Amino acid sequence: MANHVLLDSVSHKNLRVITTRSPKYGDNVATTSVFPMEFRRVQAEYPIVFRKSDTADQYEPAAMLGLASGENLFLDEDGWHARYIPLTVQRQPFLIGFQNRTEGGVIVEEPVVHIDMDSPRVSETEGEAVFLEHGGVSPFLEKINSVLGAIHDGHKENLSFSDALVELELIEPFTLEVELNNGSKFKLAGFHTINEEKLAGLNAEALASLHGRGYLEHIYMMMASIANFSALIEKKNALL
Amino acid sequence: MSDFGQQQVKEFDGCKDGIVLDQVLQSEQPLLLRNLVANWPFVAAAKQSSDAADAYLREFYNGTPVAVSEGPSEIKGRIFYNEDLSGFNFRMRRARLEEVLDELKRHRDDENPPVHYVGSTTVDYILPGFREQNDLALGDVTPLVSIWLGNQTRIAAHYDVPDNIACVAAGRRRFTLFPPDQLENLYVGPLDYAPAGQAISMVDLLEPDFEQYPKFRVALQHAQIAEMQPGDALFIPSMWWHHVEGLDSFNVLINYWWRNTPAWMGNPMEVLEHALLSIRDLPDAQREAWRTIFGHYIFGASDEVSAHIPEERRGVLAPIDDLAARKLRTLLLKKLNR
Repeated sequence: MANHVLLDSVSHKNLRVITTRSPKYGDNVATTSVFPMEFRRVQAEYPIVFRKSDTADQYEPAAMLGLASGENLFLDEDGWHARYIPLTVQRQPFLIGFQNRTEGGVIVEEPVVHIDMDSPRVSETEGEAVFLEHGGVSPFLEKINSVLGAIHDGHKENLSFSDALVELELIEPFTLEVELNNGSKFKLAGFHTINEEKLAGLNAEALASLHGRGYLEHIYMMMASIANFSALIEKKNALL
Repeated sequence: MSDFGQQQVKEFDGCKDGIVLDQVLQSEQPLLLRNLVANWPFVAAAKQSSDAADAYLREFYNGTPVAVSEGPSEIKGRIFYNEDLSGFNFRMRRARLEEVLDELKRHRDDENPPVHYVGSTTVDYILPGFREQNDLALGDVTPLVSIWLGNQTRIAAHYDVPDNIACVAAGRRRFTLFPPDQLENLYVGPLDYAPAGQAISMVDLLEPDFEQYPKFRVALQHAQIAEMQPGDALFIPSMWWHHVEGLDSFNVLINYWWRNTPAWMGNPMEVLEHALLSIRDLPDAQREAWRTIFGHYIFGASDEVSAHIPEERRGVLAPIDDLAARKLRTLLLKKLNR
């Protein structure tokens, strides 16, 4: 269960957060949302696919960390073995909340930092201090603030990126059939990727518009990242 | 209250057609500018009828939700804290302006209506184009222009940091002003928790409890009153306390706030907060020493303070400019975060 509360320097003065990566801290997830601004680093490690978001009829880019639910092939008891960890994992157990504020008499929604107090990462004895001794912002919290800020912007970027691709019919479902070394077979379905045929058929105007918004680069990074599936399968085979 | 025979705010006759003379902007005393904005089409509509003023506003409204404060008729228009100061006697919610105007219209003839009040809302956010027809000429200053709208309301005495020209556009209004030096006689409430952000006097001006607030009698002796009609404007100098009453069932005020200080200057209120943190609770002798130091460096004549130091070595004692302000701000930010 989650217990999301607004972070403040009085209620949470002794709060520490464990940053070790481990299954016992909830890092055993098979997919996590990623954002165009981190595609370059994400595609060097993980396949980037589209998944349909739970709440809206919308596609969002996600990194594949495993091939089955709750499986993170980069994670073991010693930690997370990759050069880059996506922002949506780095942020844990913090999240963005919204607070109403009036500015010039108009009510505006303002992003504020929340924390899940039921997260196993929450501690008073172990991990990184969130506040300094007298209530100041710790370097760790400063980093979290910028991670949350990037996620906030990234969500908006994801929306316009996937809208543009949907408009050009550039997203298609795909199925991955895997046969492991021990002969067992399974199918990975439910995800979407770039429709390369449609992409190849785009006219100059559509291409220029994608390029003008930086989307062409995102598209090719997603396409290239698919090669990382073989690394995932290798990791899975190594566990046999 | 009538037994105190208050002074009226001095009237200044030289301004009309929304043009404000420098003499007014430089004044250290409040000035009542009769009919300054009598030329505004909106004022003409309001003089015709509340319905005409209501219709005029609807025409410009762009649909942006506004923050409306609503309170029961029992509070008699006094927008304030609740009984034990654990909250306020009104609730604020987001609504469309038409909804507020409809409510005001519905209760227009009530003897004791519930409060509907939209406080300081930037005119350009909600009424684009309104200022093309209804505006002040203030010379060089770039003001924040806000609209205040509601029925019979009373806003407790408070001060604002910017200079202010308040233009009564619809309904009659009464301002009761107190000079900044009346602070100790006004019994000011919490600094960090007030109905509209600025700390307010806890004394009910219309029914002052002199047993609880005896020194308020002194404040009243220094009060200045402005009784205003649509078209009248009031110059309220920075830091002057003002109690504001909307007297009719439909009142609109348009006000102009500006600061005549460089944008890079800090906010003095933050200095006070820092001083509460760092000076107030010092041992007496140390605090007195700091009184001397502030008297010398902050409230003394700045040229004398550093005259004996070579000019290029005066550092923060030299006049502050935007670059010096950047340096100081960075230093403060770093030192405060601990």
